Amino acid sequence: MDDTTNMISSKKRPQENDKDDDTDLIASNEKRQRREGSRDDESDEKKPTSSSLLSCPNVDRISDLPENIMHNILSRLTFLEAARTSFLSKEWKRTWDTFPFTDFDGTPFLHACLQKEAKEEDNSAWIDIYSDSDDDEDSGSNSDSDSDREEKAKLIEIEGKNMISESTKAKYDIISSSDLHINRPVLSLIGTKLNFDVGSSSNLDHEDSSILEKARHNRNEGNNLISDSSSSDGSSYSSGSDLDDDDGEIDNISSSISSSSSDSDVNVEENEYYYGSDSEEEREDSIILHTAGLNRITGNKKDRTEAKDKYQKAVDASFKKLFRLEMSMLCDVDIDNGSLQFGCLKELYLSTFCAGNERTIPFLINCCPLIETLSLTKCSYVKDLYLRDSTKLKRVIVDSCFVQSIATEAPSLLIINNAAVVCKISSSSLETLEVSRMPPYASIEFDTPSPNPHTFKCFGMFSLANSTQRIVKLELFHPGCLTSPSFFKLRKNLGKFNQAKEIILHFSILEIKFELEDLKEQELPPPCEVKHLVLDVAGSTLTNYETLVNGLMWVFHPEFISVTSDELAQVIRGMLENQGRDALCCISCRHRCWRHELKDFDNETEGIKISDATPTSGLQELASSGQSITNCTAKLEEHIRTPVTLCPESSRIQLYKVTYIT
Amino acid sequence: MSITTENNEKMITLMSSDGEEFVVEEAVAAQSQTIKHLIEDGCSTEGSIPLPNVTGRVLSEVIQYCKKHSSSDDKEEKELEAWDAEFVKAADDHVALTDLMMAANFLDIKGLLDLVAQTLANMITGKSPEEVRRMWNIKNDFTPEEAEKVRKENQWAFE
Repeated sequence: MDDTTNMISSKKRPQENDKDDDTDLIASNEKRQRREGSRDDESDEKKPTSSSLLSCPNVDRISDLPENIMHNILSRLTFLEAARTSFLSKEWKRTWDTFPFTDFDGTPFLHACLQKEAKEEDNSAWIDIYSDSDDDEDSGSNSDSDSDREEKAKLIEIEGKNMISESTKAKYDIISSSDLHINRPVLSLIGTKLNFDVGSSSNLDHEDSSILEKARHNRNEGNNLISDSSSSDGSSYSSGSDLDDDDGEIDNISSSISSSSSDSDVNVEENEYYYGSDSEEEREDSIILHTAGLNRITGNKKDRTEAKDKYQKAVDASFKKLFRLEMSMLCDVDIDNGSLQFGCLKELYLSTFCAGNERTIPFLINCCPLIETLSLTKCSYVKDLYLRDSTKLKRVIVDSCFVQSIATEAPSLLIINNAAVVCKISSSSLETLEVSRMPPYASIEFDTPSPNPHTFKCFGMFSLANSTQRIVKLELFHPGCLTSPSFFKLRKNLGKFNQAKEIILHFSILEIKFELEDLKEQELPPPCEVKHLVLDVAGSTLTNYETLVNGLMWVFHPEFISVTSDELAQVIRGMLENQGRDALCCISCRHRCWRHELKDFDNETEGIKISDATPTSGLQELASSGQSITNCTAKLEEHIRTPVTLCPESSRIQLYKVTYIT
Repeated sequence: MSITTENNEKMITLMSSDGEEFVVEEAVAAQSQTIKHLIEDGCSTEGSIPLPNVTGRVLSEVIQYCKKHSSSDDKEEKELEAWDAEFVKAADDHVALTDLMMAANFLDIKGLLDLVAQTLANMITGKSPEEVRRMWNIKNDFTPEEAEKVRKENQWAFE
């Protein structure tokens, strides 16, 4: 099927000829409508063939597909089409929002798509996009827009052909018009860049210098106009061309640069319209630069002129005062070592960062000596995150990145979502680690034992491997199928967590099977001897609790067990009371089961409501576990998106104290 | 249940959620990474392998796919592609593609997953949001304000 060619191409008009590149707006609008009409017809024809998709025709079953499947589907669309799905419903919006911009073979999805589009489309496609986006934005400045468009159309045509061998002035115009007026359609912005990227690197240099020049230009003006810097879109530039009317992006960025040197708070939001001054807020001692679609941060250029140097210094100076930097959809950061310094930057948030190579982010981080918070979302190029030099780093959040290793000195909080196949973490003083949405084949390896206590939250129980950490609290979320070997694996891996005091398990298991005989002659690791095991089976359809308890008791040898389900509590009680009587249980196999190591048990808190639980001596654990369960509920809901009813006010926690023969 | 046939192929039994049993060669079933792991973990040593979230109808399609793909070698790639296209078209008549997708996902059969995902993606291609909603009965649960907000956010995608 060739309708995989993207939407823009399907919009292409057959009657289109080269003349159209001069883009008569009205005509193109009309044509667009006509095209929409014809597209409707086409798909109406297709409809009957695809309606058999659903066996039950009035139910929306596609939206119920798990997120990873939806992402798989999205990854097969062009970027534009995938983005459009966000308009279907809230569920699809969420899917799009969580969509990592990475293709499954590891090539950055966005990049690949855009290159494809850039190759497939002729110039008019881009012009279409531009003029479309103008329709909304330009409502206030219609008088200029026609000439703008004509100008833009020409300029974009030049881009489309990937020719930048114009005069400096022309280049300057290209960049300004195409960069600036499309401040919201970040994609188009990047698309423009990628058109350039197809060319040689020398072209890129030209492009850079044009941006620089433009930015410098704006800055100079901006200084003069500092009192109304962001409403200066119009005729305030010396170039004075009508083009500037649409200067959203660079204008604000550069004015933010200029005004950030006067300690104002500049927040350039992704979706703001740049026709008022509302993108700027004054706040003392805090500089925030939130950039979306800023294509390059350019630190150094070999061939820079004196003027650029001056500009560069100003940029450097203003960057030095940045406190918090949020960047999304950033195409590239071009930093020669050390030339760019974010001297005060404490919080760095990067999302959808398709920077050129894997060294870029480490470079960027190295520019921030005081960085405390680092957040990476959908940063497809980040593979190895070496953060040992950033000694002040406290929080690291890695979401939807395919990070393979993280080496860090001192963060106290590390959150990893949706990470790589194998994630090696080496850290000397990690206090809290949250791991979630890991693919089932993923595992996490820890290096460097530490004297400090740790809290780990792990979604997907067997993600922990070769761990040598001391853990005080471990939360495990396990979906799927549990078999004897998996219990063995758990015991083996968790055996190394022998300092663990509290383990909280959340289950939504489909199948469970535990037979000691299955383990045959394998060397048996010692049990973990957990202080407190909290079992949460809410949301699980499991019925054979006995097997589960059998397995878990064997794995953990917990001193305290608490459960939130009455049914499970009864099972545990029955099993504990029946200790040793069922002597045949493990007679035929090499390993002994937990019953034979059981000495005594005591029901500490039969029927105590959580709200009643007084935090005294033995019950302290209970109270704290109640607390953490409530916290988990939120987490769990957030991550697996199924309603979890955990620990309602009326639910009872059963706490058993168990002693073993040593 | 492990039965060995005359030509020494190890057979295993898969049981669907509705109790239907399918006896297939191990090589065929092992196209599913999930089943492969279950076999390795010793789940198949006694009785059949239960697949609690795959119905018999879907499973029969899946097995059909696996059989074809375990018997073909690389040389027949072209032919296999054509077969895939026919297969997914025929499957669409019998079972919901979403169910097939779920099964492929659960059973971890990459080829089938790719095939169905691509088919679904092709269905979206070239359609307006309204058409896609109609096709798949997706309920537009945005309020007008929210819809406007989403539209503004992604203005560039909505032409």
